[in-house]
Amino acid sequence: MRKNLVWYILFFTIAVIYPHFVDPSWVDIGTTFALYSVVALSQDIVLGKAGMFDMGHATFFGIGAYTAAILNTVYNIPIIYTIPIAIALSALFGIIISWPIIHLRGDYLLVATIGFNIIFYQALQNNLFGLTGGPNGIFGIGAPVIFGINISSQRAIYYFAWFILLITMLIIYNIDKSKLGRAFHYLRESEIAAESFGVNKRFYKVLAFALGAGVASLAGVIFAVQYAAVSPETFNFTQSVLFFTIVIVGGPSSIPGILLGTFVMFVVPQFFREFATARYFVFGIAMILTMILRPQGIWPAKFGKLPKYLTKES
Amino acid sequence: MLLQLNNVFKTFGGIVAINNLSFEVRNNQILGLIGPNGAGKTTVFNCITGIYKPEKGTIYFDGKNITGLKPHVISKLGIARTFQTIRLFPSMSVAENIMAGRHTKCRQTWFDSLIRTPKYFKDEKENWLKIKYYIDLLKLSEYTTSIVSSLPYGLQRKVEIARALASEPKLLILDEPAAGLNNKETQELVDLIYQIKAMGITILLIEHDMDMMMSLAEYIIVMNFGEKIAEGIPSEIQSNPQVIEAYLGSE
Repeated sequence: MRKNLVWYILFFTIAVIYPHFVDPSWVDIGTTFALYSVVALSQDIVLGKAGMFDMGHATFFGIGAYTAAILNTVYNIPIIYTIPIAIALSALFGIIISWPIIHLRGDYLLVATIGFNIIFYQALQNNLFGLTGGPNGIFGIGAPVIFGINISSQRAIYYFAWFILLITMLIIYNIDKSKLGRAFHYLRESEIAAESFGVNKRFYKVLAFALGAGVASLAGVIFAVQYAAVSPETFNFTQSVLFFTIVIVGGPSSIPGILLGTFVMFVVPQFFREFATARYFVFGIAMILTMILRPQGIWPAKFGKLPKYLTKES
Repeated sequence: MLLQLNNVFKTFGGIVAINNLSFEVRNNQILGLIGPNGAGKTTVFNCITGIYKPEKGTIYFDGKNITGLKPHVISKLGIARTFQTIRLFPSMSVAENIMAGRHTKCRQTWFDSLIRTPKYFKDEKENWLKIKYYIDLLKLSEYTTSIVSSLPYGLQRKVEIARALASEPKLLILDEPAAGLNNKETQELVDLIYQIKAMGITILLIEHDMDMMMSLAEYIIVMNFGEKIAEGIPSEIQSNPQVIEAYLGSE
């Protein structure tokens, strides 16, 4: 616990000084890293903790981004107020989408969630209700103002994104160390045993989707702010594959694993940008090697970290 | 009367697994359920705990009709079980596995979990201390943080019983608890079952170890081909010609 805390403090200290040493394009990568980590952590609630194969998580990321974009550009609602609306709307969508498919197992659930992602992408492409802007998306999204500070500069958005990541990590940590997280894990490990000890399967599975959707949506709002624009291809099925893979490669239900996964799957390919699309070789090779060498993920979750009064002899 | 089955009937794709089965379990009794392989014993347990829904008949527990209720609802009423093929949460530690038994007793809501309200801290501490009690009771303290899949079979069986006890059940259902245990472990198990009875818990037991069953059970139900073929105290069962025929075959 103490040792971990030191690592996390070091991690965030580096994050704080990082933008002062790199050029603007790398500051942007740092911002997107934080936001993708938030989405991957939210994907992990559903996939890593509750063990459901959700291959459509970019939908919820997109709902957040488009909710902020539409409310801000069409209805002139300040970005800061769109955050709770986006979270609530996305969580509600998570409940509505997952309710009828929650009993599906493994691969069947995976195909159903891909279906939802495709429907969402098509709705955006075809300018649903004349609000989504079709294939071009929506431009001119404003910046949030918090306590009179305008979060519009590149660095301000960077720090805001990292603040959101910190909050998300705290929430995920709290889930892990509570009845809620244990219930998710019990369901993943053995559904029959979990149910036989009073875990309400449907309630917890739908709740996992609602929480995952809400957190992904929060990242979506900041993502819309970062680029001041949203467009459909950022939220298509390929993006969902990325988030899914981050969790599996990094280490399901492990916070450091998922941060590392996001780094390997998103940041590392950026080092090879001069090789254009060939950089996705890294992506593919990383996936294959991890699954062969470390099927539990690069940094797997560790169980058995218990309160001191339980493990120490009195 | 703690548990009462009335004419329970269950088929799987046309094959009758349980046919018009009725029996009763009294408070704080150790009731044994025996029969040859495939007699339908585990199916009876799965009907009681809600994993299967019987097609006909009713099951009453503690005065309440529980026929067809979901497993998590039945669990909350005070029925806990172990499984014939061990069903633990393999990648989690011993303590976390036993904590599953406390799921219905933990009073924190998901919102308390998420933002760590004072209720969360109080609830966690209370329940982890209960886990410590059950870990000590089953002499598992040196394995508290061990991952269960790395433990030998006999210890895994103990963790399953600890998990069931942690839910403070009125009725404990044990599905072949001695399977795979050596003589010493079996003797420990017998002592443990007496200890559980002394705690005021009613026990429903499936077991193939006949010596153990005859010494433990106060009353025995014998099943064959999904039907009850005999019932009585152990000495009656041992001399019942129908039972002997079911086990050894007719001449």
